Amino acid sequence: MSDALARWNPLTPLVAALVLVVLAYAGPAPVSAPLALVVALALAWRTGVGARVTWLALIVGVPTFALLWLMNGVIAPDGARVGGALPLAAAARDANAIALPLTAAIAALGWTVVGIAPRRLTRALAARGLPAWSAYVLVASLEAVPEARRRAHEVLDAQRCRGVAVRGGVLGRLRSLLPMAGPLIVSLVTESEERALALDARGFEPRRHRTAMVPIEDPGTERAIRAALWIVLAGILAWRFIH
Amino acid sequence: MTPVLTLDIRRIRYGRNTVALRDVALELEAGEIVGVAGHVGAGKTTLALAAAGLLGRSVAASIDGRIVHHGGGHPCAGFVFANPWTQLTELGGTVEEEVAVGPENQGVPSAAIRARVDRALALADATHLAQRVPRDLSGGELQRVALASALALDAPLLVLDEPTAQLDPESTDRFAQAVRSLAASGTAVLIVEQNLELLLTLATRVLVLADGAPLATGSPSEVLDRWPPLDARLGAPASVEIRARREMRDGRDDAYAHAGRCAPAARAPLLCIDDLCAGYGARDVLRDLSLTIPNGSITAWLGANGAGKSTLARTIMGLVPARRGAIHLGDIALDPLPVEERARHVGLVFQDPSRQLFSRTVLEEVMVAPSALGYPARDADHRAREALEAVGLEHELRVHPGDLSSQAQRRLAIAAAMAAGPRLLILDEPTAGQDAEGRAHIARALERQRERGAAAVITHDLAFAHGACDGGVTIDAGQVSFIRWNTP
Repeated sequence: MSDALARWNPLTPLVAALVLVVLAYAGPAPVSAPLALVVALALAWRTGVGARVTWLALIVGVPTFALLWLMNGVIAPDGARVGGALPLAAAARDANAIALPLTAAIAALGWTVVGIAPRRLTRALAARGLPAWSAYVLVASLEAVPEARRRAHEVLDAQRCRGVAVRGGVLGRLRSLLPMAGPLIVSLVTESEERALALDARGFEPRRHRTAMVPIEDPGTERAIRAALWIVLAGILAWRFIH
Repeated sequence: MTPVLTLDIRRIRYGRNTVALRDVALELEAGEIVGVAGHVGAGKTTLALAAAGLLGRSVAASIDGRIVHHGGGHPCAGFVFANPWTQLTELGGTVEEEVAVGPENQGVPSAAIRARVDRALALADATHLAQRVPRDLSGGELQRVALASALALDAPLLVLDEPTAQLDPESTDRFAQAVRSLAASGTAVLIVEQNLELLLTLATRVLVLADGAPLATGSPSEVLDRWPPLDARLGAPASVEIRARREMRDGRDDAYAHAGRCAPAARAPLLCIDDLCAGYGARDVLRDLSLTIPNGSITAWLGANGAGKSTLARTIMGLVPARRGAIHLGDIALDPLPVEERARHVGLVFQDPSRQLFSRTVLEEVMVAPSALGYPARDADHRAREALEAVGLEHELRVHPGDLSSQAQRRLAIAAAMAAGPRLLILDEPTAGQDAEGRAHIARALERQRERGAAAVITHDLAFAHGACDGGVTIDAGQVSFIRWNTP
């Protein structure tokens, strides 16, 4: 999580990210997508999560570009001719047209996912009237990957304590997959049942609005910034509708 | 007095055929502390869930009878689960946020939530944990958080299922004081406990269940202060047992002393730890810890919650890397060995055994370790059966591990570790939730382990430590502060 973003109402970066995604896909080409990418990365670096967001953008963007360029420029559309289906430069341009907006969108959304604490975001959304169940679904979704990773680590530790080799060559890893996967799935299912019981015991009502011990502040400047961002977003969509 | 809860249960069933509880009539009044005791599988947790209004909601069950919460409210009771890990909702990133989840769900205004959370943390002796991440806490620390989370609901009824199972003795005393002060302020408390000593001193009334039905009810002294105990599976409070055995042994001072044990210090050392440092992230948990455990010994590792006992066990096993220091088991240096290799020499049973059980049957589960370590199938089968016999599960070979009670699962995890034939066996809180029968099985398994090498028991159960171990090592703030061996 980003300490710099913790000073902001989580809705502000969320709306900014939304504007960048729309800009990348619906803004005037060829400027909008690179512009959205540069702004998203700049915001990420400025708020202390630049390295992770850049890495995220690269691991999505580069393979996507390479794959599309390979398909367009090297392998013919009908699969019959190899090489020269399109001039390589043109193929790169076509690949870029798809990969760049995608990379910009990943960078913008990645910035919010990496930078905003999910629980702060749900509290901010709850203050806007989001029902308890959707707040919980949002937290659970954002926490699903780290939760599964944590659980996998526990299963891994337990298996290693019993002498099950889970490292080494490809064969060894494949052999250990079954004793890993089964318990992981079972424990995740069990945990979701336990979570339901824990929530029930604490008076969780899906349709009820929750209050917050520490309400998320929403100063006037941030509300103004968000209003401006909504206007920009509407402007981009209007431009796209006209053109 | 004002009634808070009226239970008139004819039958509670799980599924079609399993009757978990029958013929229970109970009324709780404001300010009353009612203790519920019974052997494993007696129906205590079912009664607790019913009293808290959770049965038939998130726990599927059919109830034939009447459960009335006179105070109303939602939830109608604060509930503390036997397993503190199941208490976490994950809606809170820090302990104080987790404790605040209940009042937030109730729609309490912000300022009032803060006041409730501060009061609940103080009552549960968990104020110092407020900014910690719940998942990083030890079992005992998490149990305090669980208690605080239930208290923060400010419900007229508090239902506690084994609330002290993971607490150190000092925290248990503070817990008892907190419950007394809650009762004094008018909260009705229903407490399920295997710690009969606690019920003897804390409860105003006790209900003993056996095989899903009431066996006895009355004042704690009438029901629990008797020898032989009402139900041998349940046992008796430690003070009652010690007194009775002392009388039987004609004035012998130490009822638990095991004749024939020599001072372990005279034996060859098995585990030697020198200047060990280990921790998580930037936090040092073990600080220059040195310890020697003799061969053929059973040692209790004692100390406050969060003192570093479990971290020590995980470091010996290799799950937490040592930052400095050396660990030797006999003439084997453990430091360079990976966890999988250490499993030949060291067995570790975690606090939460369900995290360690994966197979389709009990027998298969226990065969995993010897098979993984390369023993032939016949040998692995033999080792598994031997280990299961040691923990009293020899008749459950074909049962699915998930169908066992949590107490039996704990013993299964012990058998699974023993089957690998480790020279050192470390059990983390093995007696949590065990009745007298379960504790006797674990004590027997420890005696079996003594023949192979040594065993260490991380525990807050001083009566068990005294009865089943040769001595105690006290760990305080990541260092060994005190060692005491029993004398023959």
